[in-house]
Amino acid sequence: MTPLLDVRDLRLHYETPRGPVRAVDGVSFEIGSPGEVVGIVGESGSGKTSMANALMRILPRNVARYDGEVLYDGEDLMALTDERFRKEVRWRTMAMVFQGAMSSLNPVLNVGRQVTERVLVESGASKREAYRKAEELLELVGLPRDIIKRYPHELSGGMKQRVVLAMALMMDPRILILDEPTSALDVSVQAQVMNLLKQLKRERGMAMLFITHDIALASDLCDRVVVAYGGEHVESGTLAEVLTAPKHPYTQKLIASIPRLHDPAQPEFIPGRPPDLVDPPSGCRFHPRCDFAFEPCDSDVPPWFEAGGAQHARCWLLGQSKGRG
Amino acid sequence: MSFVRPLAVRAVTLIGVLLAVLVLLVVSLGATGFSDRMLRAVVGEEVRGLRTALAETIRDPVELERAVEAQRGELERFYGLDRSWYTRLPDTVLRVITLDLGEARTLKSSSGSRRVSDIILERLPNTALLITTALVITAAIGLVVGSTMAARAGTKLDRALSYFAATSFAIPAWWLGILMILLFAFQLRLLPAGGMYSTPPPEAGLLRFLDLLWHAVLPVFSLVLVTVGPYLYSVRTMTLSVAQEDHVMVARAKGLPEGVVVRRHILRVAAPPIVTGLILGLTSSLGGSILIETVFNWRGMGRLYFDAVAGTPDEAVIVALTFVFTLLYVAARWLLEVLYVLLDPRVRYT
Repeated sequence: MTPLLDVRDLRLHYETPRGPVRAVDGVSFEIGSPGEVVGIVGESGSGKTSMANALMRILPRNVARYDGEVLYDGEDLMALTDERFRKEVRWRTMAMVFQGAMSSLNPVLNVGRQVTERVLVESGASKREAYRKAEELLELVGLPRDIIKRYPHELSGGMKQRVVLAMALMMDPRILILDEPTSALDVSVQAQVMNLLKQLKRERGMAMLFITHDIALASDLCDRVVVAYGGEHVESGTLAEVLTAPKHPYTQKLIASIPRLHDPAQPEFIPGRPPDLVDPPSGCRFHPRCDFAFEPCDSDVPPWFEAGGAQHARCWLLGQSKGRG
Repeated sequence: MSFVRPLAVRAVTLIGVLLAVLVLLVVSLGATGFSDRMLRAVVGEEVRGLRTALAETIRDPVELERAVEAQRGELERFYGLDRSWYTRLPDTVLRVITLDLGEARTLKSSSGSRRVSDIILERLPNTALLITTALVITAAIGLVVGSTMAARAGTKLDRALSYFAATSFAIPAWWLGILMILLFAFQLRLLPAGGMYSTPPPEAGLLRFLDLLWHAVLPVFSLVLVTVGPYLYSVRTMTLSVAQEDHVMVARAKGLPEGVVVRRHILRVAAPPIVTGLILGLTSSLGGSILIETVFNWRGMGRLYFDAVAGTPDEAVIVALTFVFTLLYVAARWLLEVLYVLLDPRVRYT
């Protein structure tokens, strides 16, 4: 069966005076079917947001390299012209909720106008129909109907993020990309938004790509988790596998750094700094910060090793126990 | 409506500005002694005329002196010179506020009227023609070139135009005017050096209007050249900063056509500061028109101001023109407030 979304060896490098920044450096993952939520977890600077932008073809002017395959139902979206990509992929195949709810809305247009405008640029769209749908969606995300006439500055952060979410659902996208959708919100509002996302997944069978630095938050929603580090992916598997038996030392550190209530143990932090993506470390990009680094780590790039079940990790430790994969 | 209160508050503020300008006018004319000197010169001149007239009938020199002094006293009372400036000038200002602009002393309208309102109304359309034409051209060029620069920020084109903008901002209007006259009127002999109509002026109708436009080319061009630089640069900066905001990225991600993104999500959001730049540019070209009209001998309000201040000063005209200029400024500012409230929902409730 063809997966819903199959990303293969996606790369997005930015040109800088120091040389190309390898923000997304050959990442592959898939979303198997509608209703599946894949979490991309990693620290700041691991290229998560760049990857989301690469999927939506939101590119800055200084792109140095942008290639790979993004297969949607078997069709390579990377091969589409910009015009077709805009019309057919954006908001139709994939919609995205950006980081920073506060600044995602145009300050001078009212909510209704912003939620409906994508539908209304289509030829033959009915304004009444669009507004009716907008009201339904705004209600779905738990906002009062009269919000349609309000302006962003009249809304709280949580309300804005819900408006953005309703806006993303206007074209019935197959896949929803969520880039840190709750990082600008306080904890109780964050919980409301997370519940809303779970409801979307359950009731609408929405496939999602959930990007976050917060692995605990990812565990609340995701079926599968991919761990990103330094522009690459280092581990993937089902939520249970990655959370309970992390194979990559980076994933282990990430999980150990979650603060816990009622636990006297201090949360750990990961020593060292995230890798420089202009000049990343040789071999495994995590080796300068890794407690277990040994002979091949600083010279050879680790391949994906199977770790039982659906779990895979790019770490030489797995190769040691099972022989080179 | 939520619009009414903020606009009313701003209207009151602007009326305050108008009054403040008039108070400053009174102080600057009065406290510097300018007003007294001006009026004394007028009285002196009239007394000289009277003396020769009286000398015809009164032969006795002592008698003549007494008659002349009596007349002088009368004149001084008439012009208010027997009172100090801070009681005399406020009366003038209060009169002007009720739109009774009074009589000019030496200046006349072309039909010979001495009423200041006649003189100003005759000049107003000429200035309006000059300024609005320049404004429309500046706005068009500024918007198109400014947003093009923003779209190509950092390129050679952008840098070259930025230098132009700085130069345009730095050049004094009158100096540019003189340069234009030297180049286009005397060297190339393409355009008239000044005035509003050829001599003799063409018959009324289309030809006369075309002749007017022909004479307006250089002054309008000079005005545009000094205002367009700062304007297009501010358009560039505004659109560039809005273009980098997150909501623009969201608009693109939504799959809106680029034209809609630029118009609705960049220019529309940058509109309030852009319009501000334009209206403030308009008000500053009111001031600029004084010099441009003088250089090009264009019979507008600016030239009138110059004539009223230079040569034999005409206090009534100075006070009236200051009032009218301030009124125009205040009206433009209020228009700006109205536009702001319409353009930006965020200011509606303050």
